[in-house]
Amino acid sequence: MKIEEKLKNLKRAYSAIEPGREFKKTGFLKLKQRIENERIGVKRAVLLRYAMTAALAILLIAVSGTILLKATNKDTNAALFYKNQIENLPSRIGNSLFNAYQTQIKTENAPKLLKKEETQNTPQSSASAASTNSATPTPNRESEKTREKSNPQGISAKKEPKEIRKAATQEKTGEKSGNTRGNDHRNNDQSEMDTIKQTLKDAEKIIPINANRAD
Amino acid sequence: MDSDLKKLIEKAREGDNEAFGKIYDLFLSRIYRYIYFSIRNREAAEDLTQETFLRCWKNISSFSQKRGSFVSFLFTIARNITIDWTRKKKQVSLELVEDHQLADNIEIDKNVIRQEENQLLLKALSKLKEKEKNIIILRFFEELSFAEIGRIVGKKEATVRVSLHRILKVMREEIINHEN
Repeated sequence: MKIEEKLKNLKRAYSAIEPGREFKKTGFLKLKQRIENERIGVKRAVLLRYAMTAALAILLIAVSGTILLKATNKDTNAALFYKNQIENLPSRIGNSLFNAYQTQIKTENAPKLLKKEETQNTPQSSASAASTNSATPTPNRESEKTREKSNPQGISAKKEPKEIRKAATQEKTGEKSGNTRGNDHRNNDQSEMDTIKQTLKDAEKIIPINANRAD
Repeated sequence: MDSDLKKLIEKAREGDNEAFGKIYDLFLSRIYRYIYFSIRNREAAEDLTQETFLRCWKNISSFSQKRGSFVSFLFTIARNITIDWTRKKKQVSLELVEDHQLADNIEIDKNVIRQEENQLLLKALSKLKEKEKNIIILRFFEELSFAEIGRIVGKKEATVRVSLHRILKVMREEIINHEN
């Protein structure tokens, strides 16, 4: 007999192989359950993947956002600082120059004002005092007065250097003892004033001083 | 492939469980038999059959008629699963006499001569390689075409033809040797 025929005979035995009854009955139900579990598992896995991706994206956005924000703030702050510095520079220079100018005027006028006060108190020397005061510019005197009124103890006491008071006392004593030291001081003041005026003129060439900056 | 099976496959692809249930009923015995004949373990055969259908359901969307018949698709899955199982467990010997069910089935055959012949054939089969054994089972027991067998075992149709010829020759010699 040919081997092919023998194998066909063996097929009868092979065909007789059948799965158990229990397996036939419950097999598909179990399979269905497994399929459902797989579906749920797949859904869960997909959801989990989405959630993970979203969380990662949020984290990345947050981190990069924070970094960018910090960097921008840094830049803005730095830029603002330098901008202010640059913008305020002329006014600062102007202010300092104006303050110096004002201080100088005070220094110049202080002895005269003091003298005037004295002459007002002593009527004999009123005529000479008036002649000397006429030479000094009136706006300065007015401004001095208003400043004293608005701030009788503060700024003048603070800003007026000791030299002014010293000069005033010297002026007083000078008058009594021949008035030689007072004249020297006046000459010195004049020369200093000239120097400051020159400096201011030079400064004005570089930066135009605005009177409004004085406040 | 008949149109009914095509419709069932289409429905199963769309997620119809009932359609897949019908496919399951149609192929359950064949798949179980094929697996059981290879591994000789009833419980494992049942588990592997379930696994085969589960994998079939998972991959049914990727099944294409152009790449082969549904039978070859299903048997390919079954074969791969069986190979995986046998790799995990050790090689299961094809000493069929030890297996009760098949022995019983063979005993049903009242013709003693035929019984002896079957025993000889089974012994000869046990000496073959896994791929060769598969070719014999699929060709003579499942009666698949050479093309389908080729798709299952991953060989060309002509190669399967040549292989079968050679396998039969080896088996013939084995049986003759045993008879002598």
